[in-house]
Amino acid sequence: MAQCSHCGNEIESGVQFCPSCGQPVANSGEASTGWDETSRQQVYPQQEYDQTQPPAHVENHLVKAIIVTVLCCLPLGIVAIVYAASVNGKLQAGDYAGAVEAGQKANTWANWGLGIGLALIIISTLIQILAISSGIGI
Amino acid sequence: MTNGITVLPGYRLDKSERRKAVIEAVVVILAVVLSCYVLYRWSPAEYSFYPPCPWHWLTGTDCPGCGSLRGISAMLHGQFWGLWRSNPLAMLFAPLILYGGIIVMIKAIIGYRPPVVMFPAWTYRSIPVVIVLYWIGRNIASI
Repeated sequence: MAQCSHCGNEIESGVQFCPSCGQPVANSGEASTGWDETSRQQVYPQQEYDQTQPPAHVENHLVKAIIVTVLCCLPLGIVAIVYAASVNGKLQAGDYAGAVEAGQKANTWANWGLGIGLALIIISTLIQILAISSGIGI
Repeated sequence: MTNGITVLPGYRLDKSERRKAVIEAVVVILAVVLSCYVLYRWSPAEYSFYPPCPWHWLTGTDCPGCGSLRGISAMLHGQFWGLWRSNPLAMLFAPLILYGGIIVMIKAIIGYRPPVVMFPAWTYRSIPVVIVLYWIGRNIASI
């Protein structure tokens, strides 16, 4: 039995990640404990993840926002475009978290615009059908 | 780097992303086919069952999108500049929308997100400015 170098729990030899804390296990497959038993010091440096590493892509949903605006669902489409338009600038300035957030906001506003637009189309169609079937005629 | 053109590399979609892309593509194709059929069969210039633009209905003024349905319908009937005449802004954005549609299809069919070319930040930030200027301008012009 090996010991996780991060939380100290016993783990099966051969696993790559500790099942209890999820940290990568150093030298998996070996009978390494990850601990220097005499000094009780962690001998393997904890693997560090680069938090500033950019995600491969940040979708800006600009096309969806423009479709919402052009097909007449104001002012939600304009708000979505303003957010979508800020995504790439933020990416280029290195603000990845901000870019992701702006992209999500653009998507949310555009989806609300699409939803309300579709709802208006359905309501309007229903009213027309009711009007025609009851002989009113608009 | 804020003033140059940058390129984000493309990547293969994983299984769940691929499934999402296929659903997206099917929805887009259905929506385009259905709306083109309706717009072709019942031209908005002749039939009034189309829902009114909420902005135009409330204020009596044109929104930046007003005229796009009539324009697309005219285009479907063979008048290429029909969209330009009823809504030049929509005609300007048409290539961008077409590009978005092609990306959706590539993602669904070959499971690959092509590289993203990013233009300088000001080009994106000027889009809402252009729309608002067009919005104001078209209403001043129609007075």
